[in-house]
Amino acid sequence: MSNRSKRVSVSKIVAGLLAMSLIAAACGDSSSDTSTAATTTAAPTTAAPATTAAPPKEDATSSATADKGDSSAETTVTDVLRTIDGAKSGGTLRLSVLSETDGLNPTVNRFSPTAYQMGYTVFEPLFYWDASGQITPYLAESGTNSDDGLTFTLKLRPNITFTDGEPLDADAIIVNFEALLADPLISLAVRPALDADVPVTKVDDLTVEFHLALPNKQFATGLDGQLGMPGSPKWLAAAKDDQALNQEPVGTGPFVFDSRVQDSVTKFVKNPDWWQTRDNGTEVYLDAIEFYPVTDSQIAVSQLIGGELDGMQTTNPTATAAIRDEGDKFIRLEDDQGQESFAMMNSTVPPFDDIRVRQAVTFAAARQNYIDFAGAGILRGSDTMFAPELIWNNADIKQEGDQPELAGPLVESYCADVPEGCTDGRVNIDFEYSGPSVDQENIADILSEGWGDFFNVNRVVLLEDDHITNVALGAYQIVTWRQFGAPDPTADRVWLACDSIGFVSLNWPRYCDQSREDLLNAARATDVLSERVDLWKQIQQKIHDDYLYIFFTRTLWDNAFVANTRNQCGVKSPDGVELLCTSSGAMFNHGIWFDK
Amino acid sequence: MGDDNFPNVEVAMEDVLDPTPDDAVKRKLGVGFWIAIGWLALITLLAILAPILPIDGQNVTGAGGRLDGPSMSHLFGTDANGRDVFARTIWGARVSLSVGFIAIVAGMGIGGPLGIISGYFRGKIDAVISFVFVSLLSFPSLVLALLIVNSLDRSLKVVAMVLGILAIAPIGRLARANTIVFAEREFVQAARVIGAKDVRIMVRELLPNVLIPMGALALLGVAVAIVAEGGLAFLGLSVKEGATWGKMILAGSDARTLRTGTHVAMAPIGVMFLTVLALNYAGDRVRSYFDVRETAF
Amino acid sequence: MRYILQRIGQLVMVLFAVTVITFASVNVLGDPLTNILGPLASIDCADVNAGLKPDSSTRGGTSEGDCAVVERTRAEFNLDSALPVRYARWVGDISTGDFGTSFQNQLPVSTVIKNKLPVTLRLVGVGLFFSIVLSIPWALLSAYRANRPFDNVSTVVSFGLLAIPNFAMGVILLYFFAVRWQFFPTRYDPDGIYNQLKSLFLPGLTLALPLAATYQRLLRTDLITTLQEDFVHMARAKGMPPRSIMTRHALRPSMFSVLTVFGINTGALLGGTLVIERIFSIPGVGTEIVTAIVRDDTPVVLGIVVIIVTGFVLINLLVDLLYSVLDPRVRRG
Repeated sequence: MSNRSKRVSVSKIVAGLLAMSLIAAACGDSSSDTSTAATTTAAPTTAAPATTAAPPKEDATSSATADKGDSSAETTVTDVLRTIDGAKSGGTLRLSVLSETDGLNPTVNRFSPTAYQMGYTVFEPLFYWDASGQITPYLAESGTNSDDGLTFTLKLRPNITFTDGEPLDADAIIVNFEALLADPLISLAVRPALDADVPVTKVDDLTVEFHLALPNKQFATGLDGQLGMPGSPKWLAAAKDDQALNQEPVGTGPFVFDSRVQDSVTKFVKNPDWWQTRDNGTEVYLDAIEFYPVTDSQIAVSQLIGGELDGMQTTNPTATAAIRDEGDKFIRLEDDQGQESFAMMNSTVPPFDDIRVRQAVTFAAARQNYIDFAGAGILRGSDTMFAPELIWNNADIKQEGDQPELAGPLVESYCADVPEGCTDGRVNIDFEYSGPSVDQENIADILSEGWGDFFNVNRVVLLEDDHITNVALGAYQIVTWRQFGAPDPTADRVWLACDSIGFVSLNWPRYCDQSREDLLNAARATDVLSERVDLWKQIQQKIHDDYLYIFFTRTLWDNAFVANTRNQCGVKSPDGVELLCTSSGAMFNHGIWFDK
Repeated sequence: MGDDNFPNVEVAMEDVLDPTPDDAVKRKLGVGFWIAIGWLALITLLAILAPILPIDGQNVTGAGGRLDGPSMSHLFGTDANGRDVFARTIWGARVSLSVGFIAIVAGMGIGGPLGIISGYFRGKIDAVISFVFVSLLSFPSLVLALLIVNSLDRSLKVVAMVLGILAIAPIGRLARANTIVFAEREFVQAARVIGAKDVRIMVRELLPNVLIPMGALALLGVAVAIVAEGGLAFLGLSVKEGATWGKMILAGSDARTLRTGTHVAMAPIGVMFLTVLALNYAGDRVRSYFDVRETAF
Repeated sequence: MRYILQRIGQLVMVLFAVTVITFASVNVLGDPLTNILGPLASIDCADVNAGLKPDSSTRGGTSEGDCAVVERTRAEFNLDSALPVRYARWVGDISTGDFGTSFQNQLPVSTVIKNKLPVTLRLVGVGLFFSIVLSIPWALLSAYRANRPFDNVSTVVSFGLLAIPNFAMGVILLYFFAVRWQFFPTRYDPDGIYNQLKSLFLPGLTLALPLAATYQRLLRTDLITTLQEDFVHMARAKGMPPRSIMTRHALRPSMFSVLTVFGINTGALLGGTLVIERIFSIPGVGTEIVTAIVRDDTPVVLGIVVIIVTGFVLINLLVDLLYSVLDPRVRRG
């Protein structure tokens, strides 16, 4: 049996990678709150109440629709999202997630936003984001950087136990990190950051030291997700022998794993002995939470409307539109300040190893059609890896596209040099995307149409897993992708850094430029916000000039709930700090209660 | 084995002895048949002429707005990419009809000869070929199609070929059954007696007679193949490039598009419905007209 | 008895043929090593062994090198043996109830089937029930007044039903009855028999309508023939009410051809619910095999094919036997 599990191998690995990537992503994903938060701290001018995620293009009234309606908007919304007045215990919250996850072991499985939705019921992160987008201790009591940025000291809160009775202590953290480092894929996300010989040491029962490879004062920002979600050491050991246990997680969290039927429903029930209380964090009112993977967002909307679900998540603009159509029947948490949708090229294989082709494909891209039609009139266009209202955004950068006249000469000159890469004067390219999906097909139609005059586009549709695997292995030419948007851009470093290039890469385009690497390292080594902002603006310029990404739209994450749910955003850290409400669709659901 | 004759005789006798009003209809193809053929001809013509019809500029993103309803400029409205649904339906007809026809031609090309050989020679050859047919029929057809399409690629050629393979067994069985019937007839026996070669008998005497029932079944088969393409589209494995009816229906089938842009799904559903109806009806008429006995397809 | 043995022999032969085809196609059309290992399979072990390339580049803490994994996998799955040998081994495993383990999630295939098959069986059951309940009264009514307005309309209706692709029917029913008017849920609800049946109503109906049309056509034709028989005339002459004539005298002897087609269709339905399961989000073997095919999850594909084909063949055998019991003449055919 253990043999067989080994077959897991590469695809698992890749999945793991993904996981990592997603870790990063998830940690990092986006949230309007985040962004607003960041804005609040840095540039008070734009400070909006970080309370509700406001729909991007709409004014306050539309966010008001999130509310039950009779009273006027924003305040009520805020109330609904953050109230425990008259909170009632009981009930089962039925949520849909975008896809099924292959497992719920943070040291083994890939944590997509779906896995995070489930994972945050059982596990708790060492750190998390506060409502202003700053990292704040959660299971950790504190995290301290040494002056040289080479040591990070993590101190845990006392008297926390896993639901199987094991204590959460320094040994447990070390067991978890060893498991992370032992996993072929996940280790890729951790290993480069840590000292190769002595990555982690125990200081006392509740304190560990991380020894970092390079100066890094942002280490804690990586411990908000998969890399910082400790599982019970006993369970991790057992799961090593019996892979089936990866489906039955054991953590410290507000809920305990109950049952799971893959592709159908995963159920968690209230943890009666949870260490947090109303005075010390958050109280749990729900009896249970059930997660239903519904890959078709339109079906999820139907189920939400039909009362078969209490909440759902989607990134599909037409599904979001359908939810908006229902007006105040639902509470909507919309957030488009995180991830972007873009096309991405592999810089290590022909033809995109040649910047002329990268430029040509960028100029020929039907970007406006993408925004108008794939965006369904709901999504904003995007020019770079940050939303324009964020402090990090470099407003000088404009994404090119819809300039086919510029593409012609570039293709001509490339084809003159590399005739074997062209047919009939057009460059041959493999364009890969995930499917089967009507929306992805429509997007591919739009893009192929724009590229058609200069490129022979061979469309390759792969299942999401295989798609990600190919990208991680560099077995692709050009793909559509979604990424970036961490609450803190440090978490997005992994997608750009040279040290995440390998057999499996998280730097998907596999592009390494020492001057960009230096900027990335510098941005991580400091904790002065203005310096970091400046460095990230330079990084964006570099990214733009290398023509590796064609930014199309911002991704709109929509978490919607039925109108009688309350307190979606009311979850507090054990220190009483208000936390970020949603981050790329993942959120804490344990504060929610049903009114009536 | 002569039993295979039996039902046919019975039907014929019943027709003679006990004419029901049906028989009046049976003896001619009827207006409905010609309407059906007219529709099929129209669709086929449009599909063939698609490249020279003034619809080319309509099948591009932004030819109209997003999910615009039917209007004078866009008869069937536009889809989520702003493409003209009427233009796409005609382009889709090219693929869907091609898949249907190629599949059935392939099915007849392989299944027909196999069936005739099997029915003519009987004995071991028959046992082997019949066994192949039975095995093919036992296989869940869509599963077989998915397996092959997934392993090869999603080109029109492969999809059509796969559906063609699925058509072999039903067509072959029909050819075999009819061959057995005709092989007993005087003209075939006579040819044998005068020493005609087997190949010649099969091609000159049997084939023409077996072709008529095969043709009737082929009409139904085209309909089945067209629908099967739609099924593949819903499972994400239809022809990769360009519009097909199945892909168009799928594209309009989510709840919101059904509500705000009903035409996106309904236009291709309507056209596919009429086409399948026409094929079924025409096939049925041909069958009654030539008094072909029923076979399970 | 000999007939039965003959049929069982044929059944085994068919199963053999179908599994050989499937086994060969998944192993020849796809590369099993790639299906198992993914991209790792493409590692050039000759280069690695010659020291030209580093091994284990991907597997941080594990002690095992990539090439060792490749080699062990080849050995474990006997990939170096000839295809017939692997097939024989696989058949041997299956005969002991071991269908192998899913590549996807390491679950035993038998567990996967055990979880998914009942759902599909229920769906098929609901579909068959509807098809019978709809077609018999419909056929009785139209045959009783053959070629009158009702019959003519019903002919049009049945042609219409047969011409609507099942996915279009499913989409339309789902949209109106589940999404728009919310009479039925939009997904399968496994919670209790009532909820199960309620959530299978629409998919069952989608399955049943074209079947009902087929059965109605067949049954109507046979009923019209039966109604010409002497014993029916006699019953009529005796003044029996039309309803009893139709149900008591005419129906039974008219069921033969329907029964045959019913058998064939029922077997085919087991493998014919793929699209409907997809549209109605039903977690049955149809959904499972589609996923497994796309993911190259060979053990699951093979396992489900075996089950479906066995079901198909068994049902047909059963119908044949039933048929030969009812009508001894058939045995000759």
